[in-house]
Amino acid sequence: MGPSVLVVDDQEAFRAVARALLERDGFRVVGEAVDGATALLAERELRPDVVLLDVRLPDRSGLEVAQAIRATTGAAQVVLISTADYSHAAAGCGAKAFLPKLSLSGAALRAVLAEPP
Amino acid sequence: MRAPGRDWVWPLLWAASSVALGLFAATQQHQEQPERPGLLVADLVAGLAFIGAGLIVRRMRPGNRCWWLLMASGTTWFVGSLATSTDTDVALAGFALGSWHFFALSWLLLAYPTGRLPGRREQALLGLIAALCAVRSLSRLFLYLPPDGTGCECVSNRFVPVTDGRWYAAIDLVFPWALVTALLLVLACAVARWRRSSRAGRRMLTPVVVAAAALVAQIGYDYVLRQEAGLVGPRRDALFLLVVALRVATAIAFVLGLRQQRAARSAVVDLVGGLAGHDTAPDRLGEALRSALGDPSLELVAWEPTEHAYVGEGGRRLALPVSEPGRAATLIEQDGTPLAALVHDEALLEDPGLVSAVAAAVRLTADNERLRGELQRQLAEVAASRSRIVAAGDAERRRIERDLHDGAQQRLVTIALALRLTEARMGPGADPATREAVTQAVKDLSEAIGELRDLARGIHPAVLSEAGLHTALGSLLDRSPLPARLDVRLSEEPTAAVAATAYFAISEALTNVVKHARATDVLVEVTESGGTLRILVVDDGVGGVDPRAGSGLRGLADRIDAAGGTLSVTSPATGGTRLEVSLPCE
Repeated sequence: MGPSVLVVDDQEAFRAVARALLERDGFRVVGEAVDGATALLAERELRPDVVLLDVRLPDRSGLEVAQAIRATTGAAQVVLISTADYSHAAAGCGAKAFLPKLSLSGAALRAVLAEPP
Repeated sequence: MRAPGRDWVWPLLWAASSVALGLFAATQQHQEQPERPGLLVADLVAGLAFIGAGLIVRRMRPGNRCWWLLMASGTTWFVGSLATSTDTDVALAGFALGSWHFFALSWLLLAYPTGRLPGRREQALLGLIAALCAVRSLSRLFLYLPPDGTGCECVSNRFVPVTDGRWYAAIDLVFPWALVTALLLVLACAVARWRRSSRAGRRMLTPVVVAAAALVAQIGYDYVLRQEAGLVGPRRDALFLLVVALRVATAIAFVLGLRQQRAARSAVVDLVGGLAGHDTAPDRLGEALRSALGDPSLELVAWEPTEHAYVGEGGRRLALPVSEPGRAATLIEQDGTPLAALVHDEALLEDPGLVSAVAAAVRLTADNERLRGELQRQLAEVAASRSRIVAAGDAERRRIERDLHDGAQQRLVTIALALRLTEARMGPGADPATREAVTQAVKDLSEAIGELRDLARGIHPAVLSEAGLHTALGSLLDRSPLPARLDVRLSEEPTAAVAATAYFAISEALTNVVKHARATDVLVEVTESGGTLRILVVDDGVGGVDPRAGSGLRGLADRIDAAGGTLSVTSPATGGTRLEVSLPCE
């Protein structure tokens, strides 16, 4: 059984494609969230192994959400995703890595998760 | 030395004529009294002192009429010297007209220092002296009977229409008393003016009043007491030398006094110079005016349009003109609108030009202050307006970038991922042409998304808004094809406007380094101290950058200027470029 994933993005179409891509590569998408507040609730409730977190959310920055997850449970590994480049912002907010949305795939996610801290 | 102008023709002609008259009188006296050449020289010196003083005053103060009164005193002195001529007609002219020297001296004393008679009292007094001199002249011309034998004056009279000498004797007896009385009144006027004067005014009047007092004392002694005492011989010669010495001293006193006035006016010139571009706070200005006019009681009061009144120190309202005796007010207006007023010693009005000059200086200062204030206000408005334009531009760029990100970019990325999913789901039996088309579509779409991302980042880097300046600069340098070192030391994140300006400044600098510098190493340093963000971009390239050339650096300079910062580029032709930016953190 692959790692469980929570997909956080305000675009429904993207969430659907991401779910399909990741499940095809063996991940279990255990939940979806459309904004930061929902993401924090879902993370506490679902306890996913990975939170795939969009940086730009309607209610707050994904960087803040990552910091909040890190500060509360700290259990999930957060991978930031965006169409813009946030590779330098990941470490600062406690995220494991940054993955450009266009590069999203199960293999790419697995690769960034496998990177040493 | 500059040659005298045409306006000097008449004064010099007058002076030359007077000197010629004096020399002529001296030669006549020499023929009459060859044994006393020293007295002739002394007589010449007395007249020349007035002529010289007149020329000096004219050069020193061309607009002051005292110069010709001094000249007239010298000329009439020489006229009086003609009385000892051997020529009977010339001697009679000198004998008859000599007393007008006192008229010229009196006018000079009454009109000093402006050269104009200050009031009716002075005009009446001068009229009285003129009448006395006229009576004296006419009596000597038409009533004087030379004594038989060898009279002391030795003047014959061909015009005498009467044979009775009693009229002349009566006038000759009364005239000295009347003249001395009139001269005492002149002296009293001068003393009264001295008493009314401010410190500066007294400095100007003192030498003249002292000299005039000595002169009047001598004239009184000479004309009244000596007549009765009947001095003769060496004592008379000594007295004549005293007369000459007092004339010379008087002439010098007038020059010295007017020099004091010029010094006061110089103080006003200094005042105007001092006020230009310096501290012109009302208390400082008041102190400068008190010093320039030599009036410690002077007060500068401002016109308060809201209260419709003049307000002095401590907010005290003043009713002008002042009712207090000995005080006067000079109003200062600008285009008919009250601006301020000088409340000062009434004696300052003795020289209205001086007070007017000071008032003009105050008006100039006020005008200067108003223009400076207006300019500063306009500059502040322009600076604020530029800042607002830049901020509005930044906000618009952020909005466009966000629209691109949330709209087109997001949809295209989703489509690309869906196509990739489709490609992955195609089984081994899928049509190769279809598979290739999908693969090509994913590739083209990825390139388009990349271009769109670069465009959006050029408009506004999203990471700057979301993650701050340090992270955004890290991304920027990562994309640079040159090895670049980044050193950011900030205690807190700058405001969005400062961060955007700093980011674009560094971005532009790096673009220039990559394009033109042929550098192998770049250092980017961002620090903050004392409310100022400092940026340093140093490369080891070819140098020779001209900050005025190229629209990129010019646009950058404009943007930094709009943010109230400074840009400096040091780029010697020998190599290396150092770009420094200072930005106020607001």
